[in-house]
Amino acid sequence: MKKRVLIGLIATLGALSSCGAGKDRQVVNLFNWTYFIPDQVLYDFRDETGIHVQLDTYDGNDTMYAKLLSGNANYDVVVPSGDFVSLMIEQNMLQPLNKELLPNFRHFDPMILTYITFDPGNIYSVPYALGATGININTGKVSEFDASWRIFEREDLSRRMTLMNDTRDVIGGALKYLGYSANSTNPDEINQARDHIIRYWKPNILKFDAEMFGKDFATGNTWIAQGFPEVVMKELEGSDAFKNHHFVLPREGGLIYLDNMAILADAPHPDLAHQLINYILRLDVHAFIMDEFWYPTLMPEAESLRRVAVPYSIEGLFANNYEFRENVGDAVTYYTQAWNVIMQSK
Amino acid sequence: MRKNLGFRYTLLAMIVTTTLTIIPLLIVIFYSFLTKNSSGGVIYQFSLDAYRTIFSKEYALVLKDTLIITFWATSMTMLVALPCAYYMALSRHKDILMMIIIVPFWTNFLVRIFAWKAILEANGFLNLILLKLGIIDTPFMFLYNRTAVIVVLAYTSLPFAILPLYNAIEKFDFSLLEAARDLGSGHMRSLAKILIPNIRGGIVASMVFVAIPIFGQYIVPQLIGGGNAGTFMLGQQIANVFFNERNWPVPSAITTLLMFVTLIGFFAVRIRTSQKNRDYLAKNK
Repeated sequence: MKKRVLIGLIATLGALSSCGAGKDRQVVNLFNWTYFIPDQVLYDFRDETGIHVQLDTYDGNDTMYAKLLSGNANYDVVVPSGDFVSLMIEQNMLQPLNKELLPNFRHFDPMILTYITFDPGNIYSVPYALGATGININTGKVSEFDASWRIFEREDLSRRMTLMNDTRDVIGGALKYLGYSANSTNPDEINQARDHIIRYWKPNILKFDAEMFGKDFATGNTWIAQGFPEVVMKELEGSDAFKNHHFVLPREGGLIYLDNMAILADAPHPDLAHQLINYILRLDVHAFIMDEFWYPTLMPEAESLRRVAVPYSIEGLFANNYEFRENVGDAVTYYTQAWNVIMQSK
Repeated sequence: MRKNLGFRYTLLAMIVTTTLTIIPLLIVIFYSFLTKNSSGGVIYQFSLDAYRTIFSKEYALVLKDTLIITFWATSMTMLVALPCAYYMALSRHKDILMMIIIVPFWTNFLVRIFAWKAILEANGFLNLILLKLGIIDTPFMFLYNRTAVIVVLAYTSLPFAILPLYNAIEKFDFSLLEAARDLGSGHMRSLAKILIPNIRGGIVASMVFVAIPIFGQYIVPQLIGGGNAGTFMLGQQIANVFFNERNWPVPSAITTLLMFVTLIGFFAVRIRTSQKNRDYLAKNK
């Protein structure tokens, strides 16, 4: 009897495992940020080309990088931020792109491409989306405000404000406020920024949080939140409170994130990967994805296809002294040490 | 003949234990003595930098906060768990009570933490009730401080304390308590003098089950503490150094050090116990 159960179990397992690989279908493996591509795009791509996209997600560049370092995971396309593109090029983790297979690359605004210092000439990567952190304000609760990092010094908003839980974003903001580069590698400057945060900002904020700040802002628990506007807007979409959400870029500056599509050096399906990237770079697809997240468009011709108003423009970012987030190399140690001190301080 | 068979039966378990526990630990110890590589991973070159880093004021401070949180959370858990386990062991509805303890654990750990956030946040249930009752007139921020971290940690570890205690109390011979009372001891006193010493094994076991996971906690202080004063724990610092700085030797060194401290403690207790046993045997020869 027992034996028969066991045989039955093995047979079931066998049948289940053969389900996946049964048909000779084409699959491309995409490793992307959580909620960074609408499912619709992947379905449309499948309907058009017959290629299935196997999506796996990560919540940060660090976790993506750690997972890729720790062993072959069979991914084809990944979407790292600029600083990680340069790091991954250094580590020989990416393969050069075949631009002949990416005709849609020509749609990009050449001005934006000139800013790409982490991969000059876009040999290994092409832009996916550009975003920036700034300050989200609930104008229903806070009517007077200044577009400056100084807002975190306001004691009347004490315990109603949150900062990100990201070393570079928070210390970067303080660096900009003090007049330094947000990509500083100078330990003195980083320590000044650290002390400024501990002395003037930390006493007034509720918490450092990069995961829940959108929800807390949407439920009215907090009124001021450093972070990406789209995170808050996704939470508020369709509610009355949406009109009370105002996003400002602090005039002292901050960090711009450019996330890029790249193909891993050991990708099992480089051809399909090129097809997927080229599809995502199509004008209508680009406009659709940017609409979903209220991002500024990177392709001038896609502007007319946009359906939503974006909270900030690329021109606005440069007018406000924003900088692209760069790999700071060994100076990352200074940032981590400063961060640990900020966390422990009163 | 039978002994040989026993060895054969445990062989698989031994292989699994060796490959999945001992070898990874050896790798961790090995990595702690290597040089860090700022793009992740290590350079195969001997270095004591990792140990130099962790013997610093910064690490002493985070260790202090971690120990304080562990102490209070463990104490709180034990204070709640002891009466619960006692009541359960004496109850006629043991099975139902046991279910009540275990069922919430079918829910995901994170979901339970978010439930606590829904209770404690500024617009949460607790504030709603207190405002309705007129006890407070502006919402109180219960979250994002050390007390909140301790309360949620105690909640998450409660079953791990109750189960060993329940096990110990159930085996306890309750006629001893009756005897104590017959001899004129009060209720509380007989519990303290008779019950507690007799279930000491269970108390120690549940304290270990509770304190060690709390000491290494990462997610509760992260979500409930929010980086506020006195809530930052060693687990968060390890994650920070590992992911942000891409430094592998330092977390390995912390792990190695903690492992040795635990081992020394373990052997110290063992040597003391066996010494006691020898003394006892010598006395009662």
